[in-house]
Amino acid sequence: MNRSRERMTTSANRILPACSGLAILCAAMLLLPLPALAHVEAGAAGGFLSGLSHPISGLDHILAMVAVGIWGAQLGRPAIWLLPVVFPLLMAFGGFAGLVGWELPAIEVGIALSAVVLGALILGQARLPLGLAILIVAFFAVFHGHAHGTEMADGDSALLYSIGFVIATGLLHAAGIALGLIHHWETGRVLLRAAGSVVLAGGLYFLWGALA
Amino acid sequence: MALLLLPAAAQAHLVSSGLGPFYDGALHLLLSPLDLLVLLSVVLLAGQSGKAPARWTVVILPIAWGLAWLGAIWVSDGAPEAIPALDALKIGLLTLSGIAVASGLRVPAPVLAAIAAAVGMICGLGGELAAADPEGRAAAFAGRWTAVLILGLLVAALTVSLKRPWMRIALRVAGSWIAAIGVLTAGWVLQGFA
Repeated sequence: MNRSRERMTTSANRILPACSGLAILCAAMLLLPLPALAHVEAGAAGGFLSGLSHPISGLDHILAMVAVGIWGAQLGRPAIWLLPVVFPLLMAFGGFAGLVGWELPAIEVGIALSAVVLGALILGQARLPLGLAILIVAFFAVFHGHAHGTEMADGDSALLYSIGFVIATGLLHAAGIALGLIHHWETGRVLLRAAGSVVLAGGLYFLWGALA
Repeated sequence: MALLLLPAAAQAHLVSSGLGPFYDGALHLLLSPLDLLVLLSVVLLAGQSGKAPARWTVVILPIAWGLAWLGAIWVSDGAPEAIPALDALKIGLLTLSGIAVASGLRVPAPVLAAIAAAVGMICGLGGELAAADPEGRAAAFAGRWTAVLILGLLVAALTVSLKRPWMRIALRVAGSWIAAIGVLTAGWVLQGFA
């Protein structure tokens, strides 16, 4: 038992500096200036870049994606990888539903609620049964896909837009998982709960906007 | 079924690599994201299923691809045309293969051989390289076929060698991404975007 705990601590000590470095690098990249472009990208490249940038253009989407990763990391195996596998699939189903005209009620409320619920679960370090965790994530993924997966500019390649969109969403999950790995530390667990409260507050803000 | 009726974009010329028709054909595969994704999804599934299914796949897929292309040339009297309806089948196949990879399925070798044959036939019959100059078409196809063979071999070998748990997990995540791309693209195609 002690040996297994020691091994876990050793591997955590190896992973954590790398993840911390990655998180700092990602944070620093947010501060980089973007070039001013005189023309929108067109054709294939435009479709890919448009899909890649779409998920990171809305804070509501970012909060939920990162929160899925953080909660997965808090729950540990197998949720740490099952949730990010389930989310893109159901998100794509939501996008498909939106594209073929299946209407969902209160989409913006659903998106805001996803941040509220996931934020509360992270804040409370809730350890729900795996099936229920998957069900919660899958339910909210449909709303995100319905709202965001269907917003492509005319002339873009649908396939490349979809590739960019899915990759960006997956990378946001990965960022959440990388952040969530700090739960191996006592201080890290406190920081993650603080991050959960930020997600919760953001969700409440968006919920207020959706209901107003 | 509705997907089968939708038109696809027509392309006038192959992108030139500057190295001749053989390399133009090889480059064409890398610049055809749908064909590339279908190929990758099936080969990932084959690699995940084990050595025997992977061996069957890397042999049968290029053979079916080549035979179908030769058949298309023969039927069309040397001027194959793009068959847009086949794109819908490719999207369906990549979605199903992606779901199978995400689920961690190990498909038996005979089933996977049949899937590889279907993928090879669909991609080969798709009128690919219809845009190539007639005199360089055979060389362009040889380049593309070689690219299919080498890419299939490399990805299958890499996937079979993934033993550590986190590597298998990364593979399943990749499968879920591929399936999600397929589902989303199907929606766009149904809405009228090619």
